[in-house]
Parts: sequence; C-alpha cells; structure tokens
Amino acid sequence: MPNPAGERLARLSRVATIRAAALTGRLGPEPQGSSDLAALLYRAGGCAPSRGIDARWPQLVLRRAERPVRAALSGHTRSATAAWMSWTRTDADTSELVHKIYVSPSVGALAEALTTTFAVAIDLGVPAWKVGADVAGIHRADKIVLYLPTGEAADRAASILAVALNHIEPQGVPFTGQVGDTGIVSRGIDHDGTSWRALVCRSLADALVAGGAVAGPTAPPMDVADLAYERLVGLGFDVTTWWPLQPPTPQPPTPTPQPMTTGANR
Amino acid sequence: MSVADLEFRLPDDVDAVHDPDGGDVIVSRRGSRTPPQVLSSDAWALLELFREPRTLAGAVLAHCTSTGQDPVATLEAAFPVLVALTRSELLVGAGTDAAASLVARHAVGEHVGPATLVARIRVLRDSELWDAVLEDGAPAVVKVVDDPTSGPELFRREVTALRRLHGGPVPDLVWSEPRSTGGALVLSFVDGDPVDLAALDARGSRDLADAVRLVLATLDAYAAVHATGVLHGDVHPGNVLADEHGRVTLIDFGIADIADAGLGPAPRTGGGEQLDPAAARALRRGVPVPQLDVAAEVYSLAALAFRILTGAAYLDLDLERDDALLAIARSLPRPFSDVGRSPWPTVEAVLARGLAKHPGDRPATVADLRDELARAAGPLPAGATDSATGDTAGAALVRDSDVDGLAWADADEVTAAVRADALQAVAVDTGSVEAHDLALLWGARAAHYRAGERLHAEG
Repeated sequence: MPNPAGERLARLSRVATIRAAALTGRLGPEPQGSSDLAALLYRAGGCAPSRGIDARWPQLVLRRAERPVRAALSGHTRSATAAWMSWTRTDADTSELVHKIYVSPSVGALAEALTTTFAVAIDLGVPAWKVGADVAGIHRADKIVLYLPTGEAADRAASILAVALNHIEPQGVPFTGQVGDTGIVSRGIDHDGTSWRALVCRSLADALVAGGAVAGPTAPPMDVADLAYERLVGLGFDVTTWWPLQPPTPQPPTPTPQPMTTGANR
Repeated sequence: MSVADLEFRLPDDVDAVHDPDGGDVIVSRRGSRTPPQVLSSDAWALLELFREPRTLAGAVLAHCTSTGQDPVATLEAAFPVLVALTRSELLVGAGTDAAASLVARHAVGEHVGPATLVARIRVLRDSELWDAVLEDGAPAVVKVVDDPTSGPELFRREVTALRRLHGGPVPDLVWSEPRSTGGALVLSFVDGDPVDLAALDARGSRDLADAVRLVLATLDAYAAVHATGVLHGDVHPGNVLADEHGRVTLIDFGIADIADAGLGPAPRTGGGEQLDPAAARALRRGVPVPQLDVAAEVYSLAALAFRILTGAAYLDLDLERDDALLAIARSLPRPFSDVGRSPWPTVEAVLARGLAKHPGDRPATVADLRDELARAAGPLPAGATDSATGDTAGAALVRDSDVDGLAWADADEVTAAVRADALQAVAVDTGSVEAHDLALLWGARAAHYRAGERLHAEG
C-alpha cells in the first residue's frame, strides 16, 4: 500500500480509513454495517498483550508513576473503574473538561512516559487525567487521556508534553490531531458527552458506507476513502490533520461502537 | 443480652460494586484487611437493610416482607451468611467502636518524632503508613501500629527485630515510640516493588533471568536474617521489596520470632499460600498452630520462590478456606507447565523438596535451599522468555496482508479467518500495531462473511 504523505498520525488515520473502506466492497452476501466499521476504526492503533503478561502489571506501573509525586497528588481525588484509573483535582469542575490530550507511548515505554506525564500534569495544574488500568486498557492507542477546560490550556500543555516525551517511542492515536514530531501526543475534544474518537469513527464509518454505495462494489478502497473524506469535510472535520475543530457538525447521536469512557471521572 | 436481641448495622464505609455480568455484588470495607466478599444480590439486599440498626431476625422479617419469601426458610439460609459478615466486620454491633468509620490518625504536615508527614500511603483500621521526610531532607516512612489487642506486641517485636537486624536487609529504624495500642516507628525509606512483580519486563512479562536473580537475592536476605536468630514469620511478596537494581529489603517484622529476646513464641499467620502444612493442619483442626521454626520458613520461601518464578501460586488455592488448608496440608506442588510456564525439571525438583510436607524432607536451612536452587537454575529452560523477537515469517505475513495485496483480493471466509488468527499470533508475539490492526481487519472480514451467510440462510 502506498504511504500517504503527512504527519505520522495523519498517515495512520489514512491507512485505517483505507482498510475500513476495503470492507465496503462486495466481500459477502450483505454490505458491511456502519457500526462494525466504526468499531474497527475505533480500535485501530491498538496492540495485543504479550503471551505471558501479568495481569497485575498495569497497576504496578501506575503505582510506580504515583510514587514520586504522591505528596503533590494529595489535592486530587483518585477513582477507579475496572478499566480506568483517574485523578481529578478536588477543585475541578469536570463538566467543563472537554478538551483532551492523548498521550500514547508504546507499551514498552509506558512506565517512563507515565512518570513524565504525571510530573508535567501536576506541574501545569492539569485538572484531571485517566490511564488505562488493566491489560486491555494499556494496549489501547488512547491509554492516557488528560482533560482541560479550554483549548488554549490544552494546546499549551500538549506542546509541553510533546517536548518532554519526544524521545519516547510512540504508539499514536489515529483520528486525533498530532502535536509535536512523533505522534506520542495529540488532541481531541468531546462533544455533548460523546468522545472525540467515538464521534469521528461513527461519522467516518457512515461516510464510508455511503461512499461505498456510490462508488460501487468493485471500487478501489482508496476511492471509497476519498469519497468518505469529502463527506466529512462537509461536516466540518479536518481530514488531513484530524485537528479537533469546534464544532464540526456531528451526526445525530448514535450508540458508540463499543464501551468507552467520555469523562475524566467516569 | 442474647444475640437475638443485639442490633447490628452496616458500617458507612462499606463499598459495594455490582458485577455487571452476573447478579453478584463485591463488598469491601475501607481500611479492612479482610478481602472483599462476594454476595448474591439477594444477600446484599438483606445486608443493605442494616443501614439502620436492626436485630438479625428483624432484618430477615423486613426482607421477607418486601420479597415475599418465607421468613423461617430465609432465616435458616441467611443466618450463616450474616454470621460470616459479622466476622468480616461488614456487619457490626450498633454503637460499637467497630461501627465507626475509618479516620486517619494523622495528617499531612504533622510531626511524628523526627519525621514530617508528606503523603498518606495506606490507612487501615489497625495501622497507618505515611511517606515522610526527616529534618535533613532524607525520605522516610512512618508506620503507626494501633490495635488495642495485638498492637503492643506487634510493635515490640518489630522494634526488637529491626534493632537486631540493623545494617541487614531491612529498613533502618530511625525512631520509635510505644503507645498504649501499639506505637509509632520512623523507618528509612525503601524504594521497591513486591518481589514477584519486580521480575516483570517492560511489557509486563516475566523475565526469567531476573526472576532467578530475585529468588536468590530473597533467599540471601532471609539467610542473613535467620543467622541473627530472627524468623520473619510473614513471608509474602508484599513484604519483600526489590528495587530496580534487584536489591531486596524485608519489611514487617511484627510477628517475627526472635530468639533470646524474652518475647516468647510469635503469633502465627492465619492463612495465605505461604502457610506451611503443619500450620494448615492445626488451623483445620482448630488447635494451636505449632511454633514457627526454620523448616516452616523454608517451606514459605519455597512457595514464594515458585511465585516469583512463575507468577502463580504453587497450588490452586482458589478454594473455600477449609479446602485450601487441606490442599496445603496434602497436595503436591503443581508443575510449571500447569501455570503456563516452560517446564524446568531441575528447579521444580528443588522447589518440590522445599515444599515437602514433612519438615525433615526439606533443605535444612534457607542457605541450603538457596544453594540448591542456584545449582539447579544453571541455563534457562528452552522457550523460557516471553519477550518477542524479530520474526521474518511474521513480518512477511504482515506485509502481504494489506488490502492492496493478492491475498485480500482472493480470500474467502476460511482463508480470511485463518489469516486473522495468524496475524493475531504475530501481534501477540511482537506487539506490532500493524499486525494487530490487520488481524482486526481480517477478523472483521471473516465475521462479515459468516453474518451474511447466516442472514441468507435465515432469509
């Protein structure tokens, strides 16, 4: 497959789109459903746990990251679900925290990236962040998410994080706006309680199904992807950089493709 | 007043998590050492009635009124559960000390001896642990023992052991102060992880070479402790901390047996996978547990070594308490292969000797166990490392699997499913994002065929 030009996350996003587009061709007796495509797009950029992974390892890595900053975390509430561990400043208004920073190191570099991310987040007074807390969570592309109240604050924090994490091997979150050189840091924005990536993946999946119907069952996937991108541009998305413009014109709310969290403290 | 007249209540600091997949509710009390209890939703509904103080019979009657169940049958079924909950302190006498919610005894910024408290590590009902800093800026840990029944003895044993072991593989005792319910200790800071987790590599898999080094370092530390006449008595991974250089520090000497200290026999733990068979048999029979000795500690350390090397217990102890005690008393250790590890007969044989049911069949000392294991470890077993290595065939498979290749153009349902599985195996072996994404893609394609054919068959 030719390598589309652009930054790393833009390229990852384009590749994921073309692959999903290939599923819209005539591969079976029925056309591919939009929700299946959305799920595929949403999970793109993840990786698989190694065979012998110890299920307690994610918690160990989190404890190691907390240890040097334990005193500074005394002003934060720590909450846990099965999938996420969250830290929220006690004075934060979580309803305002829709501007997101994704930090996506490779799994092998997670421990170092977490330590740096915690230190920077505390230093900058980031109101809330969450980290995947189980084996599945730390293998997602979006394994670390920080929440801020304004786009300006999020841009500034993202730039500082990108410099601090520049030497660490990235995994990268497709369909998010890259900050810095490597793709380890990127941006998103939640809309009406729907997470940025859920919104993008649902909209893109719908556009791919529509594009596939227009282009026909034998159309090359790249053509279907281009048709889908045209539709998304019409909805207000930046399909080149995936920078989170506010607000794109989202599709009517539909169920998310798979369970995911959309809030800092959920 | 009889039990029937006593009023009980559910403490305010009990947390409940509902299992979304089943009807069970996981109930735990903040700061309690008792593991979380799993209750049926019906039992939880009954327990919730104790938010207001009630007698056991009164709660059962109220429960039956709302559910329509037979009160007598319900009382018979519920009584053992309610008694068990009182033992777990999830159900406590109304107005008693046990009903009070847990409150930290200290606060950030307070001074304890020469230390200033910086951050809370853990607050339990019988103790607290704090990050602290000394006057010269050195990091420290403050431990507060606070239990009217056992606290004073735990404190006395810990202080006595740490003084005797000064300079050994234990924290330095900087300062201590006895109190009526235990006491406070200021200890030098120990940076480390539980020893069984310290052997995990950067992807969370066990590095067997590191694991062997940690086992030997642990046994060296215990041999040094035993040489001073101290038996730890509380062997488990959380009490053996390993730093990033593989240095091992032993902590928590509150139930240590200390020769010639005038403290008498030490109390014994009441369970856990490191329990020795003689103790397990005594606990089953309800008779006093034999005094701790070297052979019992050798057994515990062999069990710990098994866990460090494999990440699993030497027996499947996911059982009711009595069955677990019986297994410890009678069952042979399972082979490494049973817990997903490569067989390592030489090492497994030494561990089996350490885990012999008869004390006389075990290595006589920890040093002997250590030396036997060091000799048996030799070269690592084939296939021991979980870490991925470059794989040419896997790379070729990934390269040939994209949507512009011939494989995509020609695939049918069966070949799509086979390719998805093969790509998933590469993804697991290598951690490759590309292999992961392509495995998902091919899996989606295979699933799409199957779903479509099912629709056609039904339609």
